[in-house]
Amino acid sequence: MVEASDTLRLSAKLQKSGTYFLGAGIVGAILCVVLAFQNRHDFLASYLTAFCFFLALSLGSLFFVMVQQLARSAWSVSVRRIAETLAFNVLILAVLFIPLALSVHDIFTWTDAHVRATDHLVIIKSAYLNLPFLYIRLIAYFAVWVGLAWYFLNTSRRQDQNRDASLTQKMGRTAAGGLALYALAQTFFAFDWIMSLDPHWFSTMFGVYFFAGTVVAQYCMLILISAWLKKTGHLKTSVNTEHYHDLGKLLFGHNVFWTYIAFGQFVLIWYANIPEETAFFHHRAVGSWKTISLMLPWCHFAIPFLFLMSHNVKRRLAALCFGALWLLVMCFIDIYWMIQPNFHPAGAHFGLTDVAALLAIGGFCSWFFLRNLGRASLIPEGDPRLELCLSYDNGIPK
Amino acid sequence: MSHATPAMKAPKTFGLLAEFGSPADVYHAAEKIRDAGYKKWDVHSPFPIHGIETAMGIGDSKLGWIAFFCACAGAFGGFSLQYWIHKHAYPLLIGGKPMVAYPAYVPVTFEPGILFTAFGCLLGMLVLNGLPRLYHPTFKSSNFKKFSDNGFFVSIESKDPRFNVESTRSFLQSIGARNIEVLED
Repeated sequence: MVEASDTLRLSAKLQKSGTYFLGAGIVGAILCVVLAFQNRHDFLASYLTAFCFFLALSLGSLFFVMVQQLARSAWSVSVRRIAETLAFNVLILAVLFIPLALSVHDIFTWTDAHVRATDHLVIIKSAYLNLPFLYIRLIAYFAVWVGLAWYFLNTSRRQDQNRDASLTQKMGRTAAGGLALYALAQTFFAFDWIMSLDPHWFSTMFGVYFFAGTVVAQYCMLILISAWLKKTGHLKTSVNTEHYHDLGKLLFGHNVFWTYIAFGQFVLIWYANIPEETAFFHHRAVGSWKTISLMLPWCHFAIPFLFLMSHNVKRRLAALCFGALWLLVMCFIDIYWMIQPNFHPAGAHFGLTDVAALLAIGGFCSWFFLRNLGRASLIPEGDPRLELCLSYDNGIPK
Repeated sequence: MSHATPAMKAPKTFGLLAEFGSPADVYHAAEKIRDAGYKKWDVHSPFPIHGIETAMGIGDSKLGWIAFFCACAGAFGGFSLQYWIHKHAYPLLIGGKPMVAYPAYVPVTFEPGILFTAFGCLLGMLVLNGLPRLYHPTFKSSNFKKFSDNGFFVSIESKDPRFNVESTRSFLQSIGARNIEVLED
């Protein structure tokens, strides 16, 4: 049973703090508009980066929710509502995408009429890389994501009320098909909005690479949000050391998966050394991009790998949060490294536009997240596996 | 000569074997034995008992560290082997890459790392468990045959500094043990 003393509703104080996030979002948005008039190019680069980072958090959460439903997992029940709510941020992200959808000519080189007529590789790819199809796909991606995120959040909330165990079976079945649609949408979104920034380059692994990063970012965020809720007096017993330990294990595992995909993509391109493929890494070996490229294996893989290995770290919340925060920053740097060299080939320059874009999108996303989190219980109270989840034990000697 | 020859020496005491009625009984007995400060003892049960490690006061296994150092040794060995071959023993230009092309070394660094970890885990587990072992003094007890069926036992070894046949026996009795036997080596 959920302990009676545990707070399962978002406190009024935190609900109110959503307003501050909304304020931060508005300030960020105003800054973005001002900066966009000054330098449209820099603004779009920063905005696309920040957007992809927050999209990664929500897509990772959507994946987490579906996998947990599909695997009929019990341990994760008490953290699932947070992920369900975070996944539903795709709705506000769909709105926040409008500035990007309206700026395709400034983002992509391949939409230019001259390039489309003369560039051999762009001509070959024109059946895929053309604006009408790009918009059709874009609508399809967000339809899939918003539809799935809404379905899982809404069904789970309904279960809070009616305690209907058959909804769990339904969600499990939907998750199977949902994951297939999700995988396609995620892969092609990464192709369209990140990979095609350099229309000459291609990597069939790129979709998985983006995906691997989103899942790592999601686990980081889930750990940090749970810990924050705990610190503010919520979920004191419902999310306990055993759950944090498992989130830590999955964070560790998925970070190794990210490394495997990242290295797999790199080593095949590096070894074959075919010009149109190698260009991607060649552009990222220039100036300060080289430093960031080298940061990825060391700071995204090696250091967190050693740090998160011991269960003593994963079972100490402060240490786990440090690891999660570290990796969350690295996930942002990874996305920055994917997108920004296309806009700033000479070297990285993190500036005011990046801060403004993060503030705007982060502010609106946090506001929307807290608003939805406050509308229902913080845990899926009607889930038939909740009992099992609350008594879960990793069997580590205490 | 009144001294016995070594071959005739009286058998040494291995320890005491005590039976308990249920998994719950043996679990609580384990907590009391742990709290009494015994170190060289074990619980025998037909199936794993949840939380028995905590009740027995067993800390973290050393196996993780053994595996970690084996992994480091394997990875270091795999990397050094390639470095030595390409730099000194048999320099060969492959695909226009530098002689020491680190990215290409990753798979072969990884594989011995995994291989050595597997060896370390298996052999380390065997050594820590005192295996392989064909004989154990508990086999002398006919009552102990129940350990794989419906018997829950505790054995306390005479090697334990707190061990004393009489006081340990009465301690075991006080925590609800029955069929207490002295095991000989």
